[in-house]
Amino acid sequence: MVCGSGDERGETVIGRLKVFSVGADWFYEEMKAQDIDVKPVEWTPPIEVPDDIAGILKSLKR
Amino acid sequence: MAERKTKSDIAEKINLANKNAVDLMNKGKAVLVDFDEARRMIPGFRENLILHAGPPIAYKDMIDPMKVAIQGALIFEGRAKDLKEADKLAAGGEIEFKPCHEMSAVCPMAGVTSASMYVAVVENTEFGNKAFCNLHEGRGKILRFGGFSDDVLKRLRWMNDILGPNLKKSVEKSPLDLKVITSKGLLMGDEFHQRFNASSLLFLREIMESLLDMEEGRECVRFIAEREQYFLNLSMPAMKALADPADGIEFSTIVTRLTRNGVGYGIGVSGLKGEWFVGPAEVPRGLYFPGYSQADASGDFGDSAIMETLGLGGYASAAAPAVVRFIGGTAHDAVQMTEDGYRVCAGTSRDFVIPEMDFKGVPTGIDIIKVNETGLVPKSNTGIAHKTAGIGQIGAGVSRAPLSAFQDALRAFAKKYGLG
Repeated sequence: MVCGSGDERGETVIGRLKVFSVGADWFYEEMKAQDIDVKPVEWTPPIEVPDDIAGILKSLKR
Repeated sequence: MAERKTKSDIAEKINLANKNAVDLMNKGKAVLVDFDEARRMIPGFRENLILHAGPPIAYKDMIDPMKVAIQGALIFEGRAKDLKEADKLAAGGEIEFKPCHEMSAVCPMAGVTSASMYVAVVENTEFGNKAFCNLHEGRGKILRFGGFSDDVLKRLRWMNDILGPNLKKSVEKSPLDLKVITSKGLLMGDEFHQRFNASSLLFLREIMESLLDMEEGRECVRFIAEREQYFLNLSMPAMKALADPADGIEFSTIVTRLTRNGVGYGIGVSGLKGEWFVGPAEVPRGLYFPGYSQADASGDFGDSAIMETLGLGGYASAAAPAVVRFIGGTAHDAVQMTEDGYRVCAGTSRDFVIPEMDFKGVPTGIDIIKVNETGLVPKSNTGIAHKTAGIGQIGAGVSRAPLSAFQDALRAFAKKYGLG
């Protein structure tokens, strides 16, 4: 399953489904609050994020 | 530069610092305690100083409406006899210019505030800091939109000679809790950047009795009652007073300043105290008064994005169905703007809740990390000024903050704290 608009970033796995969502942390918390079986996966930067910014963001996700 | 650290070191510090910043924003109070001349109220104000909205900018680089507002202020101060003479004086180096934010002030549109102009004084009684804002003139041809004429000058003098002193006497007798008015206003359909109809009337109700006891009280009441955005110039210093204690927290990535000068859009970040990160200010998109279009509009300006800094304005759009037409056209668009806020903020407000969001608090504490992750930059509901000085307001709409300012801020943060 894929949801969301072009603004949406990040990626979360719901059961066997992959959901691409805005602000994966926020989406993950919403899913957990609804008792949905959900596991976060590693964040990957959208292609338009400059490399140095992607590197900084990834360093926070390690 | 700090040593390269692991995620567990830094991410945890950032989370704790951001939680602290949001807590400080929530714990603060905002009490209207005084009105008086800027030189008497704002610490360090000098006679030759003029404050302006947005990040720092030289007079020669300012947009025309801001230049004319400054020229009008110099005439108001008696330092020049006409706009031409005032322009020469302003360009000559004798006058000092500074962003309002650097003097604990926030002022709408041009933000121009000179030494003898009356300002509202709001105290955060929880932490002891104060914030300031000039007095609300109304809409249309007014100084803060770059409008100047004999009528504009006459109104400014009346505001200083009659309105300001009367308001001073009124709030000295009974200071006003502006957070209470803000909370009530949200429940009554104000989002606090475009729409202040409810809160302006709530404010008037609080001070009307004391004003009517004064000799010129009736004309003061009429002036306020005729201006549906009157509360704007009170809610802005209220939000500034709430934001400032959250500035300067090490490791915090929370935004404490959003502001524009027509050329640049500047942001400030708690963990990078005192630094400006500036990108281009865009021309707002919105609804224009008859006879005007986006081609006539100036770049976005004003300190009023302090409202979005605290989760109001654009982020509280779901609370204000009446402003929907300014921000896209449907109620869904308004809810989406609020939802976007939750995606980039570290917390929610304890006191400012939105009925339409099931009484959830407004998004609070914009996190530059989340803005960079999602690309969801803050959007402000704002007034639109004509790019040519002298005309004033020509519409209202939405402007976006530049992503580049948030990228530059994150780069500076990474450098200071050893990330990446």
